[in-house]
Amino acid sequence: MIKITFDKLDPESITNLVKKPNNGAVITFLGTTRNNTENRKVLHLEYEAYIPMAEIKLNEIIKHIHEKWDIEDVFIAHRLGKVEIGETSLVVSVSSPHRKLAFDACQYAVDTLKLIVPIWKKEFFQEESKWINSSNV
Amino acid sequence: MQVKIKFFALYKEKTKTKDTIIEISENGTIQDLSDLLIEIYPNLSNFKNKFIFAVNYEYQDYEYLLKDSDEVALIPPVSGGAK
Repeated sequence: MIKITFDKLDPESITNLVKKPNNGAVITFLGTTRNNTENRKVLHLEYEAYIPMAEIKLNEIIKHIHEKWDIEDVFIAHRLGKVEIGETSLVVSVSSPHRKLAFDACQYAVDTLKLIVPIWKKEFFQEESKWINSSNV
Repeated sequence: MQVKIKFFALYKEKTKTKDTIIEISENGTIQDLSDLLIEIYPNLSNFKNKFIFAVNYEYQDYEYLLKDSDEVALIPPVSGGAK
């Protein structure tokens, strides 16, 4: 399951959706917005996505997880738009009969998401704003 | 033929354009489109070596042959989630 939304994310309800009676482990990763980067104070962040492609790429990640690991269920949710400091921008929740698989699959999902899913983050400072990973020349 | 091109994030700001239609010769490749984009939007020239393209929601390389009505996206380096 995936969700790309401008609304606040609810990690608890997402976790409950992947939790099944035959699971021994449920891992939920939260990506939260930090108040600083390279010693500069960040005021808030904004996320932008190429939504139809991001949905396809998130589903590819989930498909690959099911092929590679004995995972019961996966939910990836990403927030877009303005996100205040300390709020949750990403939720990845994975359930499995065994914890090691759930940890591995969750880490794979987060790492791969950052590489292939077209979502961009902009940090807002006091005097300027900057897209992350883009050398802003 | 015509392709639709979409800009995001940094590239959307540099071009001041969200999406547009570009006329390109038959059998044009992504390389040809990349060269055209630099001509139309000189602001993008600094990023030329970093361009990543997706066609109809799939990443494609510079030799890819474009077809009429393709939706092409110029993809900035991605940074979803949080570090």
